[in-house]
Amino acid sequence: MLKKFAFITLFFASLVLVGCARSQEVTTSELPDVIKIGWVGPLTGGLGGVGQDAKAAVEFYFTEHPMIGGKQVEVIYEDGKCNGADAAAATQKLITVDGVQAILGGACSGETLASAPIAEQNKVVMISSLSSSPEVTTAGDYIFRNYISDDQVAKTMVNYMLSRNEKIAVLSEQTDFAQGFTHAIVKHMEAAGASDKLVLNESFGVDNTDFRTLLTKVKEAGAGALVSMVQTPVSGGFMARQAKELGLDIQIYGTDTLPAPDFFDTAKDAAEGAIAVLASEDLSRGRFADFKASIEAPQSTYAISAFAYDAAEVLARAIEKVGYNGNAIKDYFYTMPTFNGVASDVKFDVNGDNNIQAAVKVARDGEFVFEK
Amino acid sequence: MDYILHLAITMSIWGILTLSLNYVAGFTGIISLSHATFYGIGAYSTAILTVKYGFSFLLSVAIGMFLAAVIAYIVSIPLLKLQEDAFILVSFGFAIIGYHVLLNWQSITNGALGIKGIKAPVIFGFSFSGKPLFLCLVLVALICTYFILHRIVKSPYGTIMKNIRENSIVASVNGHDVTAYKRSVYTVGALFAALAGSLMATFLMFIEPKSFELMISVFILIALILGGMGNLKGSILGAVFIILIPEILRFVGFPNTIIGEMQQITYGLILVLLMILRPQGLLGEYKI
Amino acid sequence: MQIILNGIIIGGIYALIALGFNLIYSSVRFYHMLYGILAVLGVYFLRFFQMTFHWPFALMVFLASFLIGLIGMASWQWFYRPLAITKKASSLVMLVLSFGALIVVQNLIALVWKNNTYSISITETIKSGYQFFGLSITFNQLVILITTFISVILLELFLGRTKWGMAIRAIGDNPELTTTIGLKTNQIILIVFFIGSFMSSISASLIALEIGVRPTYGLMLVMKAIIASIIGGIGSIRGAMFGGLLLGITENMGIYFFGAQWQEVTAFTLLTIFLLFRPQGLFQKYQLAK
Repeated sequence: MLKKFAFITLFFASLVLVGCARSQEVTTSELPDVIKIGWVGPLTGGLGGVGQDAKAAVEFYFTEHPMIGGKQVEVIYEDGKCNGADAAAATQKLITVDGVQAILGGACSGETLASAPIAEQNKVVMISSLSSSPEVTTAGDYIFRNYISDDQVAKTMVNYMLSRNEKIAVLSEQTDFAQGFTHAIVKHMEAAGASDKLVLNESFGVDNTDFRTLLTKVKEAGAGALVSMVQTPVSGGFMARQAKELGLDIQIYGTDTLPAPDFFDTAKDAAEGAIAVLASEDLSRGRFADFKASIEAPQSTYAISAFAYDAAEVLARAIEKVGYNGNAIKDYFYTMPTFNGVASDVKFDVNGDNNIQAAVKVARDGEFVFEK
Repeated sequence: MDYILHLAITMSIWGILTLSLNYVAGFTGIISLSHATFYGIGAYSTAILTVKYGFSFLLSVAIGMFLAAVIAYIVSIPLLKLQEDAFILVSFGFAIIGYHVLLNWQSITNGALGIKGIKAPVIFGFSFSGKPLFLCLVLVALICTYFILHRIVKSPYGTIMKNIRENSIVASVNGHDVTAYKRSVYTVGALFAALAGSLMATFLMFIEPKSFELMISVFILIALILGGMGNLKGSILGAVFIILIPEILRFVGFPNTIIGEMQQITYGLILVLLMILRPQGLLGEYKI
Repeated sequence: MQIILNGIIIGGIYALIALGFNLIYSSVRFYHMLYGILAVLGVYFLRFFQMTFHWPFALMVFLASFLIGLIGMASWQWFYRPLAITKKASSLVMLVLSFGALIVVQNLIALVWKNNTYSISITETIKSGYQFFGLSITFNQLVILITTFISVILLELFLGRTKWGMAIRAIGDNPELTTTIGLKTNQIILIVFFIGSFMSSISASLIALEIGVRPTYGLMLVMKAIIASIIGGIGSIRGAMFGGLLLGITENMGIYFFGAQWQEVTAFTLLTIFLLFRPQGLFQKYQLAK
């Protein structure tokens, strides 16, 4: 027993040493010499690509704007590995050791939800640019997101599909993102009194890209519209491609996870005509085009980088305005004027959600364009 | 400071997990990769019962442990007919099945979205909110687990367990019902894993199926091997290491662009080196 | 019917990936977890060749697989052998060891080539598959099935008719025996690792045509290989093929009748049933741990 405690004490002691060397107390609204901002998201594993894209966009923003109010910005990136336990530890580390007042992230909804209680307790602001789960809405006062809640997009998508009077099949990946979205679609189908139009609703394993049997089921169900609720554009591409290979003539619908070069690389000409209902208001406006031109091709989709970039900018502006203090930033966010971002306008509601309108785009010649 | 408390709590919970697996794998030689499932059963029982049905914490823990034990006992009937490599594989399979049940039984578990808003444990009107208090609670649980398991393995029953590990044929020739022993060991192991799960759920206040997937089982086993099979102190050391290694790597200061991968690579390398240099683990008595 | 065909196609993929694994496992008797990630690495080599040079597709696949074969040999010679032979480590130690290596290689790949899924294509347009009797099969899928059959036949011939083949078969049963026929055990294992890794990379390249590739596929591939090998019977090439096909068909039946979310569950239930009731697999050579 003694030995055990000796060991534990030893490790804690070493941690304390490392911790003290870096910790920094920020209490006043005056800007510290170095503004340390935290970032949490998946950097490795299945969704590593998504996190890497978001991180690249944040890095890009702070290389463009290295200073806030004349003070140097340092972003500390932590791997949340897309799961609650790791993200919670990462958040705790950022808050205690680095003394951050604001965290960009998490990306996966699980990361955000498990970090939220810690952020709340320490009065640290979190802005998630990617968590779409409806659970995030009520996660806490200090939790914001500039990504749209599934609800808006699902509503637009359902109305659009119903206006075309098609039978609908939904194939969704078993990730929190895709599942949350699917729930929203089902909810709006019911609200529209058209549950009978939903002829098939199935989920498939994460990273699975063999959809043949599922597509055969779609064919047998006689669906005219297929909602491809995938996590990555490549999966969506495979779905479109295999549908065509199986001789399935069907209208494909998707969301922000479709528009990316990878989708077209994979689906080739099967991509033509696919419809994406997007969270973003207008990805074609000037700022986004400039942004798109200046970053590397994403590992996931442009929307992910764009939303992360917006989150960074919203936060930077808030810090400039009210100083680097979680409480002040939180209060400012609730009263902030509408921010005109790269991906979308940002205006937080009472729940810290960003209620923006969804838009409809169609794939034409290797690009998603607004429907005429 | 909170960060250190956070890690200490995580380590203690993992300590319970590793101890209970040591009891199963280290002392009796049942190398199981299904431990995360029982951990998950405990966590989900507490989460569902306290959040949805307003049960008290202690009651939910008891139900979770009971449920895990019952499931473990039922599962052990076919599973323990297999040995060594074959058993590892099916226990692996059971972990995958368990994970998919958590993921797909949406009406109960809320699927991939997880359950949030789990409250801090309240025992006899006393709330263990806040990290220092929670650490006390977890340490009490850890020490209890340690002493209970310690007593068992030092008892005559524990001697039979070790005999089964060393040579199950000899044990059965000596008149011991090897399968019955193995089943009871497996069940008790699941019981403590469920306790760890309940604590984890109330600690994180949010759980999702991902926290109980196959890889977690693998990591528990790695922690056990690191610390050493068949040594209870080693298990705690192993749990400390498995939590600390990735956290220490956060401080090494890898360049931003490669930080995530470098952490994982270092982690993998440590595993490889351990297997090469000290396969019996740090305090191991028994070589796997 | 289409379901069974889908099952056969994906089963052909599993069979192909299981062939090499089965061969290696039956010789060294531990779970070579690196197997899956080396196959994935092969696809990344292929993709690199495809983007750098513009050689014929088959040549690039061959080249990439040859490299993987060499890496496979190296992994035995300098990585596994010191422990497995010199230190006589147990199969569990080897499992953990190769698992650690899997994590390292997977993240090295992610470091160099990023985390996202890549698809490999030969053609620029997607054609509908060939239609017959209301079924649909594409050119790629035919290639996969044919490659599987040819590989099985070639391997069976090699193992059954040549001196080296016999030695490989013998080594799983009795390592001492081979030394008496005048062949060095280590050389044979090296050859096994080369053939196995070579095959794995070829199959992963074909798989990439169908379902793409990403670093995390390594673990998935090796798991499917393990299941297919056990169902089919360790040490049996024909077994690996039928095991793969059975796994593919069962999974797809599972998707059709129970839903895709239970796909993995179906696979492991099948595995458990086999281990309980027929641990020697479909084509017995020797039993697994009994």
